[in-house]
Amino acid sequence: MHPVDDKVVVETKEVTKTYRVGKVEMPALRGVSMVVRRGEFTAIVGPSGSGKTTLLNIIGCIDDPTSGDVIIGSEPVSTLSQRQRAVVRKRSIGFVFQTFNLVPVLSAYENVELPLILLRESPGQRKEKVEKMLGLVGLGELLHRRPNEMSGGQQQRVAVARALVKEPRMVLADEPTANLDSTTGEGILKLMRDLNQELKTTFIFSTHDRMVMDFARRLVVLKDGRIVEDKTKESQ
Amino acid sequence: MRWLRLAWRNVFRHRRRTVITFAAISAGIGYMILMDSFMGGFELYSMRNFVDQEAGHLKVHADGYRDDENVMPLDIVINDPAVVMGAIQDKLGYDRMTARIVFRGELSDGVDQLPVVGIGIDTATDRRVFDYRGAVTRGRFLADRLDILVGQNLARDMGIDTGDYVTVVARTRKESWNAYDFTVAGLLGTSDMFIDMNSVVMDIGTADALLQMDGAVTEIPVRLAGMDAAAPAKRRFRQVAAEVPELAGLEAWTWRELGELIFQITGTKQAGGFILTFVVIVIAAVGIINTMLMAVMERTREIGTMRALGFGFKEVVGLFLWEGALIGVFGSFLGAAMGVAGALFLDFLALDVTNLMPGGFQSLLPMRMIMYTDVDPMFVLRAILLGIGVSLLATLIPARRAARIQPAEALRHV
Repeated sequence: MHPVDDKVVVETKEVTKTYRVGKVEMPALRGVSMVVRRGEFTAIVGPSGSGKTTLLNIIGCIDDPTSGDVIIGSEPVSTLSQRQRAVVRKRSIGFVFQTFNLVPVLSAYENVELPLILLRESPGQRKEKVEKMLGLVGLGELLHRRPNEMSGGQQQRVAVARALVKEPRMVLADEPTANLDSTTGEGILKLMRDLNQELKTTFIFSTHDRMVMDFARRLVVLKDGRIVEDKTKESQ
Repeated sequence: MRWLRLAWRNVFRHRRRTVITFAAISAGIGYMILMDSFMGGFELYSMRNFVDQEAGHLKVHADGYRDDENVMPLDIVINDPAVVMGAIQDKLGYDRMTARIVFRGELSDGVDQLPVVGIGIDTATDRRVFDYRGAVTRGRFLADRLDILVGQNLARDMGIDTGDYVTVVARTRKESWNAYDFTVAGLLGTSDMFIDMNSVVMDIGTADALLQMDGAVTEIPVRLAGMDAAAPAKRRFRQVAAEVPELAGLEAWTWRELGELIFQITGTKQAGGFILTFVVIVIAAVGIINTMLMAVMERTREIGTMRALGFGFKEVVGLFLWEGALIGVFGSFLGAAMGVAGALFLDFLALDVTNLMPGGFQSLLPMRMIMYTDVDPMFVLRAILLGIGVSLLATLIPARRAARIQPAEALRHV
């Protein structure tokens, strides 16, 4: 595994999140502070309801903390408008979802191309990048398949390619193997680890899958919305 | 244009729903164009009819005649029509004109007696402006001075046929009563119900004698190069009449002024048509809003994914607007094609719907109702633009709703 450098990609400062269901308040995060540095391959683990997805959503600027702040690069997200947050997501963050979430009417190629269109890259640049990325995830032959013509593993590979094609600061993967069988899930994890090493992209997962934890270099354990353990493996 | 491909595919994601939405907007636009073409055709047909059978393009009367036109006065007349027509030809250059005497009278067959409008025509020159010779549906045209043509509906009502003897009774110019016996030479079937239902036509010399006109006539109808020539011709007539003594005390009226009532009725019908069109467009708009709201509901998670990828408010709205625009463009063009095709087909069929009209309609608008249509290209263009505009506006509400969905919430959506 390549060395992690000192550059901070994202930092959370005493982040809390409380959901209100009617008059009932349900705390999901109770003061989470953590720093993720460039090149990390980090798993946020914990049982269901421990706040993993909420933390990922807040780091990914698609949800707002109730208190505390997230700093991406050097900018506190709380100072950004919704439009600026969309720009941060567009440029700096790639998402991989448990249910793949590909756009069903677009082919594998077009799904991966989508973030580049959003970044207004030229057709030539897009073609080069998409073909290269789909080649890297092993789907060079399936460019024109629609999601419903691909297996779950293949769809998740497309999702990984879509997250990485814009060369983001970090990729956030929410339970990326939960909908896959163990062999396929392992394949996806290996792929992400290889890409982490090759492209030096920072990966943050949420998972309660043992196998994913084994792959991670750093484990952040959440319980009842708090970090109860944060350990980094020396080597793998 | 970035999202056109994606929008296009989204539009056809649910084919059946898309077809229904297309159908709604197409039907709206098609109906609108068909109605307008029908109204346009009706107006054009009624105008031409009126010009060809009753008014000519321009009608010259003595000053004040029009104020009493309802009683068809015989004391407000053109005393020397030949001099007037000569002056019109010399000074204005119009050569297609004729002189007429129009009067109120009674037609009797010895049993029944009905009020009629009598028209005395100059058989030699009348065809320069009108075509009554071609409108004789039974019998023949006027040949003898005591021949008379009777409107075919009037003849039917009175049980008169060609060869029958009838009497026309009228009050003369000198305020006495006079009556002549005529032989029915032919029946007139024009497309102008006013003539077919109420009128008798005789030679102008006979009418002159019957009414003791001493050579005077009530009107000089003029045919011009076209319908549009009437208004400028009226202005020229007024200018020239002020300077030429032969035309002093005369005034010219355009066919539009003379048929004011008819065109008011068609105008009212058009307004009614627009209200109906508005209702159809609202229905189409509700259809689009419904389709788009369903799309937003179904695609909530997808919208969340797109927001996570970095789609901003504008991009999400833009994507849905493209979808609305595509529905609008294709629906409108399809509707326009159907509307124009329907209008052309109706024009080709030229259905006679006179008898389908509600009772009393003919007394209001006395003309034969042939379903001619007249497609106005500018209206078709406006209808297409309206269809696209309505689609975009109708899409705006669901699009904004889609763009306001919080991404994290949308991603949790099942």
